[in-house]
Amino acid sequence: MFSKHLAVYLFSRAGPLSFKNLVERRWGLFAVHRYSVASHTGNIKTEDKDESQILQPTSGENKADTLELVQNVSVTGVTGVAKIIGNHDEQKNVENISCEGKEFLKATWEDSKTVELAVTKEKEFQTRFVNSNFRTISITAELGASVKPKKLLNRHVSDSRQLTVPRVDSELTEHEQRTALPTSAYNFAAYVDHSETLSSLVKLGVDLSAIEHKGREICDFILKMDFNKNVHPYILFYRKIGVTDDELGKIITKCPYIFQQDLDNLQIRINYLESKRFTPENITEMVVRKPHILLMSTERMDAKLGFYQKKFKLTGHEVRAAIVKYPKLIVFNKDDITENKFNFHELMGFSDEQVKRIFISSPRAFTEPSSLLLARFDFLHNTMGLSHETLVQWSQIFRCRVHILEQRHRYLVSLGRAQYDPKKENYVSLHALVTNVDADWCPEIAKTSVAQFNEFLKTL
Amino acid sequence: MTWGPTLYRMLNGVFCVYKPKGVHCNSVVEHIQRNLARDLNVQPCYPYERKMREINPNPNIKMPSVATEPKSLTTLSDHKLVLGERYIPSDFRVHFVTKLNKHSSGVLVCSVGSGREYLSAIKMARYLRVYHVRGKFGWATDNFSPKGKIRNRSTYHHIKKSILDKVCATVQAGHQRFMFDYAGVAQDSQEAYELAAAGIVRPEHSDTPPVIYGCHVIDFNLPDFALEIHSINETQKYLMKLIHEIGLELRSTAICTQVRRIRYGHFTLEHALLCKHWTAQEIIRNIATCRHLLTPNKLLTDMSITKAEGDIVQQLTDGQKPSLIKHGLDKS
Repeated sequence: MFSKHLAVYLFSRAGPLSFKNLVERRWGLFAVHRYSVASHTGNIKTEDKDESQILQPTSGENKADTLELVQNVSVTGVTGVAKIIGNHDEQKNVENISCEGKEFLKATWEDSKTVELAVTKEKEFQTRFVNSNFRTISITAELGASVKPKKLLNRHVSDSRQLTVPRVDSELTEHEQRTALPTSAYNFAAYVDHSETLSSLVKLGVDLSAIEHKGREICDFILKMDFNKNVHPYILFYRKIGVTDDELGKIITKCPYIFQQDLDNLQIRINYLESKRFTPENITEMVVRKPHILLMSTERMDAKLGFYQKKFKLTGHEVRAAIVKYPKLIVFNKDDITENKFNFHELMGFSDEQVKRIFISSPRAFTEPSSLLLARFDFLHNTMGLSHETLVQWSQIFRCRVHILEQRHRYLVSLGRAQYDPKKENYVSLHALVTNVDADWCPEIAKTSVAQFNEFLKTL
Repeated sequence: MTWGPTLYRMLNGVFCVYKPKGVHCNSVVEHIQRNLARDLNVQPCYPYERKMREINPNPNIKMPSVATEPKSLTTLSDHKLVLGERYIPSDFRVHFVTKLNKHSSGVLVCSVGSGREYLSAIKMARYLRVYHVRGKFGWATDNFSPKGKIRNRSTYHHIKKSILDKVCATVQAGHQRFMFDYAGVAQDSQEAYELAAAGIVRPEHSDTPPVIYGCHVIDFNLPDFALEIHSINETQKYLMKLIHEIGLELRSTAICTQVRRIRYGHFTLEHALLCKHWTAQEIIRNIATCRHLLTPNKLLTDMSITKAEGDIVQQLTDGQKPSLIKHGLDKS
C-alpha cells in the first residue's frame, strides 16, 4: 500500500515538472489526489486515497431524497491549474462550486466535463453535488498546485468564522443582490458600502474592526440590523442620558451588545441608578467609562452594590463615591474582590479600617491581579520599609508597576535621597516618587539629569 | 506625521537593546513588536489619510455630526474603522541572537525585518562577550540564584581578595588549554602559534563548551564580590555555576546575585536601548548607529578571513551581502 502511494507520488512529481521547475517552486507541492465518492446506492471504490479524507455519505432512508454532498477543497500552490474531472454513469448536477466566497459555476456537469481553476496563491473552494449518481470525481493539480480535499460530508458545513448572509436592501433586484453582495465574508468591509446601517455606524465613529473580534454572534446581529429601527432609538437614548456625540462611537465599539437589549429595560436601569441617588452627571460618566453596566439587570446591580456596602461596611455615600470613581466595579467579579480583600487583610496585614480607606480612595487596587498586588506590597513594605499607615495615605501606589518603583527607589538609594519620612528634611512622598515622566522627575526629585538616570538603569 | 509604510520600510536592520532582568527574551521581542505596531498605527497608514482633510460638522443636529468621515475617502469600506489597524505585532519580524536568560540583564542584539540576515553572520563571528557577575558568599541554593531553595550556609570571613584573585587566575588559566582544543588545533603546533599570534583564539563553531578568556575581580566587599568575565559560547547558567564553584574552591559557598552582559562584540552598553526607549523612532535611530558595526571587517573575525577564500573576501568588501558571509564561513 505504501509503495503504491509512493510510486504515484513520485511518478506524478517527475511527470510534468522539470528539475528547474522543482527548484523554482520549492514550496509548491505537487501531488495528485484521486478519490472516489459513492453515490447513495452505496458502493465505494477505493483507489489510491487517504481513508481519513473520505466519509461515506449516509444514504437517506428515502431514496428519492436529495443527497447533498458538500466538499471543501483547498488548492494551494504558487501558480498552476487545478482540475475537477467527473466520471459517472448518469447525469449529475454540480450545484455550485464556490471559490473565495464567490460562486463561479452553476451548471449541469456533462460527461468528462473539466473545470479548471487558475491557482495564484491559495484558494479554497467548495463543491456541492445535488442528486448525483456519479461514481468518481477526481481533482487534480498541475504545475505546482496541490489539492487537499478537506471534508466530505452529507450536509452543508460552513466555516464558523464566516459571517452569514447579510440584510439585503429592498431596492436591489434579485440579480443585483446576488452580484453585489457575497453570501459570506470574513469581515465587515465587504458589506459597508452596501449597508446603510454599517456605513452610518462608521460615520458615528464605531470601530467595526474591533467589533469583529468580539465573536461571530454579535457580528451577525449587527449585520442584520436596520438603522432606523435598531440603531437610531439607542442613539437617542444615549443622547437623552447626556452622552455627547464624540463619545457615541467609542461606547458602541466597547459595548455593541447594547443593541440586543430592550430599550425599556435600559430606561429601567437608568431609573434604578437614579433611585440610588446617583446624579445624572455621574450616570453619564459611568456609562461612558463602562457602557457594560447597562447590560446588567437591576436585581444584579442591586446585589452588586449591596455586596460592596456589606463587604467593606460602607455608607451609601461611600459606595456611590467608589462606584463613580471606578464604574467597572459594578461588572467586576465578586470573587476577585473578595480574594483581594483577603490579601489586603490577612496577607498584607492591613486592619479593617485601613482596607476600607484603601477601597474608598483607590477602589481600582482591588481589581488588580492578586499576585501583582502582593509583589508590589512586598517591595514597598519589605524593601523600601514603608509602614502600613504610609501606604494607606496614598493608596494609588498599589497600581504602580514594580519595575518603576524599583528603578526609582534604587536610584534614590544610590544618590542617598531615599528619604520617605515626612518629619525629616529632603522628604520624598510616594506620589512624587512614582508620578511624572523621567524628564520631569529626574531634575525635580532626584536632582540629576536624565542621562545620569539612564546610565544608572543600565547597571540594574 | 510620517507615512506609516515609509517607517515600516525603515525598520530593517540590526539594533541593540538592554534587556532588563526578570523577563524572558521572547517577552522582550513581543514587547518590541507591540510597541512598533502601536507607534506605526498612530501615523497615517491608509492612502486617504495622507491627504489633507477638512472636517465639516453637520449643521442640522438631527443626527450626530459626521466627524469621522474624511473628505478624500471615496468608499467607506477603505476606512480605518472598517479595515482595522494597518499593522499588527506579528508584522514585525523581530529576532535576537545569543539569548540572555530570565534572571540576567544586559546587551541583547536584535534584528527587525531583513536585518535577520545579519544575525547569522553575527552568530558566526563568535564575538567575545563581557559579563559583570555579582556573587555573595555564605549561601548555596539549588539553582545558584538568591531565589532558589537554600541548601547550605557557610562562613566566609577567612576569604581575602588576594585568594579570590588567585582562584580567578586559576579559572582563566584552566581555560587556556580548552581554547586550542575547541579551535581545532593541537596546543603545541605551529598552527596554534599562528592562531595565538593573530589575536584571540576563538572556538571553531558556536556549539563548543564555554571558554573563559578573562576572569578578574572588580569589586570585593564581603560578603559581596563582583567579577568581570570575558567568554565565548557561555550560558548564564554556566556563569552562575562558576560563581558557585569559586565559592566551593574558597572553602565557602556562594550564590550569584546578578549577571549583566556589558558587551557583545562591538555592541556595548552605549548602543543598548533601555526598555522605555523601545519605540519606533528610537529603534530606527539605533539601526542607523548600529549599521557601522556590521561592516565586513567587523563581522569577519580574524580566523575566518584567513580561512575564507580570496574571492569571497573580495565580494564582501565590495557588496557586503550577509548571505555570502554565511557561505564563506561554511566553507572555511
